Amino acid sequence: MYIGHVGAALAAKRVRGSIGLLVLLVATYTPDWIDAGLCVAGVYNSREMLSHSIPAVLVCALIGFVAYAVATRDWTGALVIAAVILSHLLLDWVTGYKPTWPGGPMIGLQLYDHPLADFLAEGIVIFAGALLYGRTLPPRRRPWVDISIMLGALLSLQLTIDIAHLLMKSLPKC
Amino acid sequence: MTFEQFAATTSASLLMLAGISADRFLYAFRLIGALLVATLVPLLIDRRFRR
Repeated sequence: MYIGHVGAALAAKRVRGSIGLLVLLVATYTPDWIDAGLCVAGVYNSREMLSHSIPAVLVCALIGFVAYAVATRDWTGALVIAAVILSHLLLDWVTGYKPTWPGGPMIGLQLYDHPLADFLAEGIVIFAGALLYGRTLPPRRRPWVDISIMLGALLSLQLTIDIAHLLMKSLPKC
Repeated sequence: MTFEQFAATTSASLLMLAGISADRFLYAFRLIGALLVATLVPLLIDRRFRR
């Protein structure tokens, strides 16, 4: 999942409004940031075992939980951070094909091969996240305008990615 | 040698000197760029809403 992960972060903002959106966005993309770091460091694993396997994401969620709890003393917020990190794996199983554990099977619906289905799946998560996020905004006369701006920007980004996938099937991997 | 050829040769050489293959550089560049955009766009919109 690509921009759909933002939907998870936006929904989490509704669950715990005191958590900064930047923290939630970093949490929701944690496995992908690890992937980028491993690639730059030259130790990238093509099966994404160190970033997207169940044990790897559980460790990330634990680290996120401890780090946020120590920094803020907000245990509920720390649980939300851990849940957002875990959501990355669950959402990736819908659209991607990800490892389970070392020696275990790869699982996922791999909707990336079907950009329209991928856009629909990501769109549903983005839509749900944006609706929940709208309830965290200060009261306004026309709150739907704000929600529409966020929704439009995120859906446009996702559409761009899906079109790029459609046009460039074989992009180089790390 | 045109500027484009010079730039392509030089950047490829620099990447090789740094021990980074062109594919790896492109993948990392694309991934980090996408992550930054996916983080900054909702963040900036949110900041504007809460001002």
